[in-house]
Amino acid sequence: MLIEINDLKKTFSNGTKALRRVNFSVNQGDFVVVLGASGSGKTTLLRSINGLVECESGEIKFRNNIISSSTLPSLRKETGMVFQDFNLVNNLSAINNVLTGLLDSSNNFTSMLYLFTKEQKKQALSCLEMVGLLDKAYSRVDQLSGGQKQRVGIARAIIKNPALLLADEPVASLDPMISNSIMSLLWSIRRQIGLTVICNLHQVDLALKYSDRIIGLSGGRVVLDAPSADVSEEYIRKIYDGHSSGLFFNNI
Amino acid sequence: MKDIENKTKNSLLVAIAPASDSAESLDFEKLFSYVESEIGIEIKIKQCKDYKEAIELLSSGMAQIGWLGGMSSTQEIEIQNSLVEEFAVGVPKGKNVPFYRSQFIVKASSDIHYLEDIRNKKIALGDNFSTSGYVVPSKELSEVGIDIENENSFNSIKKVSNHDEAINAVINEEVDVAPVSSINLDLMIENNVISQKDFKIIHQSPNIAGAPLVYLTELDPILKGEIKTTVLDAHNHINVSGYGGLLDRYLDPIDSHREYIESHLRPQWGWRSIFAIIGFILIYTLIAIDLEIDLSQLLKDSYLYMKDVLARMLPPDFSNFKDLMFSMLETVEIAMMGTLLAILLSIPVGLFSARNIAPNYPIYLVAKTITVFFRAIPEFIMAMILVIAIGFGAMPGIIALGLHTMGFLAKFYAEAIEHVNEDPMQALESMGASKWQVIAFAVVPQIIPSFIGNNLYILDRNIRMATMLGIVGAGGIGYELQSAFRMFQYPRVSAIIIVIFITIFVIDMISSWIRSKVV
Repeated sequence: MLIEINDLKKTFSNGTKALRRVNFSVNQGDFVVVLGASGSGKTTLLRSINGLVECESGEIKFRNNIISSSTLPSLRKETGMVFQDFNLVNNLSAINNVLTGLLDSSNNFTSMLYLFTKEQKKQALSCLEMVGLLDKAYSRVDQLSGGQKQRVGIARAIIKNPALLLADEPVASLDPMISNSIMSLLWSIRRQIGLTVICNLHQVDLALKYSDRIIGLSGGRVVLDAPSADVSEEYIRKIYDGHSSGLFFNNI
Repeated sequence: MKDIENKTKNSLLVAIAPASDSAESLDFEKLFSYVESEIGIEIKIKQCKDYKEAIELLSSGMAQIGWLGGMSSTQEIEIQNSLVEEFAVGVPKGKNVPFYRSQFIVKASSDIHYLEDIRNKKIALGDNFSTSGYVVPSKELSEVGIDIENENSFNSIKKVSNHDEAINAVINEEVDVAPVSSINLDLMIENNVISQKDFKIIHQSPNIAGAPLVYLTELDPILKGEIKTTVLDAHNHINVSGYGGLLDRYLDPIDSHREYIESHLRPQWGWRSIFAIIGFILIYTLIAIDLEIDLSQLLKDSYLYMKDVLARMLPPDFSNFKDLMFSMLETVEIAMMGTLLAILLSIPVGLFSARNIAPNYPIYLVAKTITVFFRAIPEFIMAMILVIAIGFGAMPGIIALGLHTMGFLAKFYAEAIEHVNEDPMQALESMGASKWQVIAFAVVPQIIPSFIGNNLYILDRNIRMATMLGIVGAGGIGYELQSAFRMFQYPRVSAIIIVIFITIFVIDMISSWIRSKVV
């Protein structure tokens, strides 16, 4: 059990109940998709796992240790994150963006001068190769397309060899064709480097195609938690019909 | 089980995927007859008709060794990652690295010049597993928005079974364009099958890691080791060949991959940055030499004089505090009036000197000239001229400050307006808003924060400048400063400096506060 979430609750200061007693656990090596419409609480859930959001009650265990302010740094060392809007430094080259993933283990002084060891640079290039962007290593990120930017984002997230990858709507800003290729990339990287992935999505078709397990959220509650092989689009539609939610049911 | 089969059969089969139809450019015979003689097991070679056949032979265990083209294609087929292991990559003769490229070729006379142009053209494509004939081209095409899997992207798609067929299809004008392997293209030119003049390359992919030889993962480890060592060592005993005809040698895939990655290493600081830093240091060194800047001299002597001057200035003399405060007030008032004048003048001038707002080029040029002209004349000089023209007092100071900083503000506004997001402007225009309505609703709200920020900065700056204007007779505390200096009343000088400092400090606090509220 890599991650265990018990009775997680979060109410924002404006009164929005983002999470109401959320329970689930994630096994090592699982590719879990958290499915839900915007406002269902999935971003809050993901952010609470690496401590970007503090929850009022409940606990999250990582490798059987309860996450607290003292255990958070070690968790973050083992976590990579991929963002909806990529969150890259636009004026930097792809390789320098990927190298930022190694800053926590780099020399403070030399890294301020953008200097990295040859090994680190080769590591960054290998990650870029893994996401199919080796040839764009020295292009400025703002010259890349959306799909390529997200590939850089993924390379940055995996360079420190994390145990857990958190992906918050990684394809929400991309068109369907590119979305599919990014999800398939995450899927194959998971295999290659033995990663555990928790990925937020709102597209049912992608969730069914790229996941071992689907956790459905609606209004801050878990309404579905099942192996992807056991659920169908109709089944998910039925579940969500009972809840106020606007999932996307379009096929690519 | 298969291990046992292999041993009992005592023969190995090599499955070769198609990349070429000339035996010479895909020649594994010599290599494997050498391996056969070294390890004492019979080896047969099968040239497969497509990639699928080669993969099937390997996955069924019928073949134990294979050549499947570039690894990116094999990575696509997930099963293969555990099915086979790469063990050797050929380095073409005359090259140090086992890399090649996918090149899009067209007939020399073709009017296709860019990758984008091949939409709706006739294209020849390789097998879906072919690295340089399909997988890499698919990636290159998707970058220009062409979906290789969509039939409608092209006029027609001719499926070819190898690169030579694709090259010939282009030369014979059966198709307009084809992505092919640089290895096959080079070989066909070398062998005079085609000429450099027959075709042109409109696009080429980045380096593709060389296509490796693979064997079944589950093959007996000792046998695997023997095969690998023999192949990697073969170039010391025979002329090795493989994909691309004669080869220099076979490399361990690990070494090959390392070299592939290393071929992409570049220094973090390019020569341009280094050149800029050296240039910067050089220029400032020359300036320092020219100005005879000597820090040791400054520290040795000058500080003694400074000490003397400071001693004479202390303690400050606040005896005429009331007069001081009045002239300080006058200074602030001059600055405020000057700033108001600058703002009022700079709004029209700024609008007209913004390229996207100016009604026409002559007006833009006039407005631009005005801003440059008044920025170029220091207010100090302007005030001196105005004092002669209209006499002593606050007026010359106000006009000098107003005109000079108008130049600055107009420039700031013009720049802010030029960098305004034009999308909302288009939206308003499309719904019939007039030019001035567009400015009022889509431009002004966007520049308000920088408008207020810049005005506050100019006010702040004008108060500092106004303290000096009295020196040339344009009113304010500068006059007091000047006369105190003239009469060697250094304690009064220090008192005036303290008053100026406190005033500017307070004004700065107030403007920061306003800025934090509105910007």
